[in-house]
Amino acid sequence: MIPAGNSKPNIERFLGFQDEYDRYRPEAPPIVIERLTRYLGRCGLRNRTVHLSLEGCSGDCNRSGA
Amino acid sequence: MLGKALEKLHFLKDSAPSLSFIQGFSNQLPFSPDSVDIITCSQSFHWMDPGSTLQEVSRCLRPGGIFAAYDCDWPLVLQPDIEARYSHLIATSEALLAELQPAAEQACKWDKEGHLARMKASGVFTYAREIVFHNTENCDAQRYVGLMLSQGGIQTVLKLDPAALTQDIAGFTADVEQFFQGRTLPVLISYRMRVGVK
Repeated sequence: MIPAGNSKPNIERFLGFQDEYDRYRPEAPPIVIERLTRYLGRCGLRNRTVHLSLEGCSGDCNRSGA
Repeated sequence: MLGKALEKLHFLKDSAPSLSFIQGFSNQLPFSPDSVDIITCSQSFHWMDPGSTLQEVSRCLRPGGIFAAYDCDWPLVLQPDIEARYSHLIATSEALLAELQPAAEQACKWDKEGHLARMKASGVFTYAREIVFHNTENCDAQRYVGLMLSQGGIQTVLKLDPAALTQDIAGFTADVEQFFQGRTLPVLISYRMRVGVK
């Protein structure tokens, strides 16, 4: 069951070519981590960082800037 | 994509014990309220329903937490005629999909240029702005062609009508190989990152 607001065709669009996607797409530039961590200010990282990716996949990195 | 992430995680297990990958939906995240420092979307936010996703992001972020949607500009900077051919291929694939797929089966994306306005209009951020930067990565002909082949629209056409783009892809590949001449070169990648602070 897909929750309201999500599109099945959008999910299916990215199925079946993960090897090509992983091999050729740009990597996350290090400046993204550096800039966002600085933007958090003096409180810094205390909890978790989450990356919302395609195919309905989300990563969860507890207490880490990775 | 999840399978690839899990495959790589297997090799990182000792050095990244806190890293995990979970399948889910961007507007139904498995996190407690106010429990997340940073939420990012790389090349992905335009495929998510912005309204419900931003509400969910706001629920999960702690006060002062940051949401960032960042995307690179396509095609990567190379040479005008090759870039134009790339853009033509992408436009051709989208036109083909409009013919090959019933409307209900067509993917729907939001324009990236509207990310910041939608983030501001959502009312969930105390501050939002765009940050632009660039990066360079090494690229050869195989990778430049592979970047084109990794686009979702191209892949969908290849699934539905494998022969439809054969000539266009062959022409593009020949141009790219002619340019690179077997070399690996640094390629400029431009990024636009839309940032919101809760």
